[in-house]
Amino acid sequence: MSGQKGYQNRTEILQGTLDMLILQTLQWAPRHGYALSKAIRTNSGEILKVDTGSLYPALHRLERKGWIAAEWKKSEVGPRLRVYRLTPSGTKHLLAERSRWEKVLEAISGVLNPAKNESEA
Amino acid sequence: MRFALWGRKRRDRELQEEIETHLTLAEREEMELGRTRKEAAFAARREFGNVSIAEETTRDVWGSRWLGDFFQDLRYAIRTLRQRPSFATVVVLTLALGIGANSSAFSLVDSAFLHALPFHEPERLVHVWTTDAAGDLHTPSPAEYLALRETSKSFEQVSGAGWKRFFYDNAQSSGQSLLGLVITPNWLPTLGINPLVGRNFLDEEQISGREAVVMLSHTCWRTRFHSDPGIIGKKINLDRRAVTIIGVLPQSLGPYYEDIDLFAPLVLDSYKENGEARSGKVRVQIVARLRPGVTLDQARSETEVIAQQLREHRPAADRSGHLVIEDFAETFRHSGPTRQNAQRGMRLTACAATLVLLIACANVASLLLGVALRGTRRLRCARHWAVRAAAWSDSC
Repeated sequence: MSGQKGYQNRTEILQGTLDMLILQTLQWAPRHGYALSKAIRTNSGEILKVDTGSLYPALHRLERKGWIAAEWKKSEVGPRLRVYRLTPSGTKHLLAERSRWEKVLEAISGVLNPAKNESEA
Repeated sequence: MRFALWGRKRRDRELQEEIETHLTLAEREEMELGRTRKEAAFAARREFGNVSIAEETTRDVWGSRWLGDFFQDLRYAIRTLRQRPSFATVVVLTLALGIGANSSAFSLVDSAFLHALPFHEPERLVHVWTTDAAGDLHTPSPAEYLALRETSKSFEQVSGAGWKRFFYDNAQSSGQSLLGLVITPNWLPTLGINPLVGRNFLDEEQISGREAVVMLSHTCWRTRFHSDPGIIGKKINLDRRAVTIIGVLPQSLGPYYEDIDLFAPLVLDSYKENGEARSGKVRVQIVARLRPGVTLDQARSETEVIAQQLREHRPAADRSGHLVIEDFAETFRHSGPTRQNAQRGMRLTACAATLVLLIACANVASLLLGVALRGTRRLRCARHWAVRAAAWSDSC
């Protein structure tokens, strides 16, 4: 697989977006920490590297805020797993974050492509 | 608090387990890619990064949790109290009364019984009193002091002291009266105290004409002389004559010889000269140090013999002039004949104060009970949340 190369090309996740990525990824299904980091990596086309040193603090912080809830589940493969799922207030927060992020993206692309804006104006 | 700590420990354990599982899963996947177990473990660790830092930062997320909970409780308490100001006032006043009475009683007991004396081997220190016709204790006369000092064998040191007011004159102020203690040169060695700076009095400085030397108490040095480090050797004007400062005493003496500004030599030859004429008025406080191994009873019987010789011309039934030896610490607890009453009173006060606190607590408890019985509002609120929580967990 693209193994080694993938490692080097991976980018650190942008400050402040990890929470959103976690919430978004948990929207589909409850996951444990390892599966979550894998899912983010896979969904980003192996580009975004989730730094585990910040993944677990982020998970626990989100849990404290009540946006996700954790539960220990027995796995069929051996060790029990701490599985996180999105809470209703987490969903609300995710929506707010997404709309904020879209505005930021729009603003950044506006700065990067000023010509387009001017022609529209 | 114990619950909070317990919860914290459990969380720590679970976090470790969670990260351990993460590593196991990553390792398994690496092995499925065809690595050996060792390589896989290494790769998983490398991918994860520093485990203990990850654990530490995660713990920090929870770290202030109980502090947060505490503030939440505090806010709730303040809100509740503000809703019932009269109730709050009554509770606060009741507890304040109980706690206040207790702490003042304790500080009394503390200063009276619990404070250790800052002197060398204080258990060997004694005070010597004389008795009057009624049998009450008084400060001995100079003659009694000299007799005890010269003839007794039970004591290592017999030192004397007396109160005296000094008139202090300096350029800035128009003259002040300072409280002084006149002491024999062996007074400090008897207590086992050395001057903080400078030196103690010499034997020849207790002869009149050569006694123009003085030591300052720590407080006096600090407040009147601004802790002047070069104070030794300076001359000050006391009782309209120049007196040399030769030493400063340590602060530890403070609580026991409070309010004393100056220490000056006790001049004994003036007693000898004026002898009988003054012996009725001037008194010498005796502090003595028992020789090692000499018991209080041995010293008492020897002293009684000395006192007997001094009283020879008086009738045997006369209760005055008995020398009474008393444990030094006892005197500091309370001096004078009413000391036992005072001690008993103090114990009673402490007990009463404790009782007051207990009554205050009982009152507050019954008040709270009354409020709880009436406080259906809060109950309804709790029920509301319980129902909501149940509904929510069902829906998930």
